[in-house]
Amino acid sequence: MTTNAKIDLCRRHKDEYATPKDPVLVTVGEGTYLTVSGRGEPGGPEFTDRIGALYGVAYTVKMTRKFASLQDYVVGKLEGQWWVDGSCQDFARVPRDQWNWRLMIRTPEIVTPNELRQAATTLIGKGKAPSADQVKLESFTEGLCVQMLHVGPYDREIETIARMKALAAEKGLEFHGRHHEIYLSDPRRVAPERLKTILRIPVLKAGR
Amino acid sequence: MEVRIERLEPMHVAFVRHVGPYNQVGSAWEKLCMRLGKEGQLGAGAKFIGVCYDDPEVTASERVRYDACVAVGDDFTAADEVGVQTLAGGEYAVVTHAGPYDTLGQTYAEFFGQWLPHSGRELRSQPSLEFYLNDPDSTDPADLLTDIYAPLEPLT
Repeated sequence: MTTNAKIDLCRRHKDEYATPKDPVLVTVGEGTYLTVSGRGEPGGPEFTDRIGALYGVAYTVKMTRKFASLQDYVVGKLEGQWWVDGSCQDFARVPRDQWNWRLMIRTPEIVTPNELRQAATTLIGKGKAPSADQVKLESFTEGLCVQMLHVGPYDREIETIARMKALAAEKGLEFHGRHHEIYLSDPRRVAPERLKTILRIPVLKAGR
Repeated sequence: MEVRIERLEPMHVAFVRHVGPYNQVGSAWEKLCMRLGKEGQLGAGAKFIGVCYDDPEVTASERVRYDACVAVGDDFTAADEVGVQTLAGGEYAVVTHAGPYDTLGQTYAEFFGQWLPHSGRELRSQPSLEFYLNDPDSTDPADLLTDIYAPLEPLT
């Protein structure tokens, strides 16, 4: 059995995962994620199928490693990036069936594509997650971002985003990347007014 | 206390038995989840259930019995420490405990000590079940949710 402590990326990157109810600037370095992409309404059939695939792969990889006494880690929170064709920012004005999304779970870089393939084969073989082979391992860097804890229903995010935009403008910055959400609460179990979601949007110097 | 009545179908589960204090059930969960996880049994809909046979107020802590369970298909086969059993269906009174696992006892005390005697219902002679609704590894203890299922005698 390994003696290494369990890796917890949320604790390791605390500035990125513990954020106040007021907008702040954070610099987000390179992160590796299990990802699965799609298009359409959140909660729709494709979305639900892909979430099942993502969690199935996440726990199958983790437990297979643990069984083999390889380095253990905490399976992170569900995260999502949202955008619409042709623009990264005005997705809220576009019908939900045209929303693009990439669902993600941050994962230590020690996990290999081969482990993903094995997990997908196992899950598909068991009939547990037919889309498991859609799950990828991707790394990217968001850099300087505005971030804020949103408490309340997802359809009230517009007010939080306005505050984030105001901070960016005050600092001479503007939004330029994909809208990123980190889901701290389970919407199936927590009342909408108590849902906690971290909103993160990359920024650049205005006018560049 | 908000209590709801639910009817459960009998449920086929894989399980690992723990005997000892409730705050040491972690190793049973590790054994169970490693076996099930590597076999691709832990998808998004996986149900994590604890079967609590004994009242720790009555039974000595080193003799308290607890089964860590995950619902599986009929084709799952027992091996080594992982057994299979069928959890009883029927009517249950259900309350959601919000918060750390080490305060579950307070919710039990209110559920069984205050709600039950005034409910007009009686407990069936079967263990209570706990359904764990989030991953304690990645969830702040204050945000943990546990549904406690108390088995009820049928109404006559």
